[in-house]
Amino acid sequence: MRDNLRVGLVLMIVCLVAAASLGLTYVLTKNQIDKQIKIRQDAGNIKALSVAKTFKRIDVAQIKKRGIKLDNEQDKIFQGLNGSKSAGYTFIVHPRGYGGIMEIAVGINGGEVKGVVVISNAETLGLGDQALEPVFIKQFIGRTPKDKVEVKKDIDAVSGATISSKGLTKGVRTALDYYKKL
Amino acid sequence: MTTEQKKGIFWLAYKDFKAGILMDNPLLVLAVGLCSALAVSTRFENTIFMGVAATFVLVCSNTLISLIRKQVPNQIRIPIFIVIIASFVTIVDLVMKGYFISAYERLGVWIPLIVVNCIILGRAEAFAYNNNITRSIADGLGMGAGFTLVLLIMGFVRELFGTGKLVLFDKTVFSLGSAFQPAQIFILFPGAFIVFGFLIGFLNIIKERTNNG
Repeated sequence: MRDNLRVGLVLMIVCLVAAASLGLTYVLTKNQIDKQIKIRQDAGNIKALSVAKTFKRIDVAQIKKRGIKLDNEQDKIFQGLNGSKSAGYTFIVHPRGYGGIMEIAVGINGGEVKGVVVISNAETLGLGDQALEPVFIKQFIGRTPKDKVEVKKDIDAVSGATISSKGLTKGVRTALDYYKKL
Repeated sequence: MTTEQKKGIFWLAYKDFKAGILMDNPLLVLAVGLCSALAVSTRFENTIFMGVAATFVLVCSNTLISLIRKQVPNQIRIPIFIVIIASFVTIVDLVMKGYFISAYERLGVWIPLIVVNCIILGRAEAFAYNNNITRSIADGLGMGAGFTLVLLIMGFVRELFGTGKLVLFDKTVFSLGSAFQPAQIFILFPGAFIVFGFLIGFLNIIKERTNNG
């Protein structure tokens, strides 16, 4: 009986200490993590939509009101502004690639895709990440919501990087679908 | 008193450290923790982060487990090891996400998977649970250094021959030139096994030399 109590007690103490130290680490790193994510998304927005000077995030409630169902909870929509004039939209979307979820920024202005920027990816070096090169991404520029934007239809996949190509294409398609409903 | 005890604790610790790098190298001799090593070594930069992360977890868990080993009842030692290891891995995970986010995302699932890396649980069970702190730290450092060293060599060879250049923090630091046609096999799994096999071979040559000399 005393032994059983001791076993339980030791396990409890170890778990409590572990939980406390994890909680502390989480609190200490949370701001830094959010900051990093924001810096990278801002940089992506600027590259994807060069005509806009500032970006204003459209909040989730407003997105829902317009009947847009987000593909991924993390997806974000920004309105690009040049002074007080609207200069298109950027979409942060999260399609699945070969190595996991990718994060890409798609800039759309005047009904056309203006830029696609890969913010983060875990595609295989030398193989999958060929689909993230400008040669492939170039194909998306100027596409409109009416285009199919689908691999094998109007987008040529990079050989050896089919899944990554499809992932990226899916991301652009998602952004165009969001744009249609804005 | 045996001769080993006479030479003192630091001599023993030094021996433990050295064993981890060569004679008991976790990857090349014990052949544990291979899965993550083969998977992350496609890129040299990845191997630096993976090596440092695994070494940190290994040293911390070895230290803590050795410290509390007399209070830990035998029948629940494994759950306790896992809680300790998982906590250190989560700390590494959060810190890397905050400060090295691109490397973190490239390593993806392999950072959380350090929890189930055989090297760490294996050293906790086989070494730290039975030895004092100094020797456990030395063992953690040695095993970590052995793991990291092999990873670095594999990452270097695979990235260099697989893509024709070395990229560190988004800068090309070394290139074989455009005349070199990258051998994609080095990036793929067969390439990992080929490089790994050669490393085991080299280590065996070194071992034979030392035994004969």
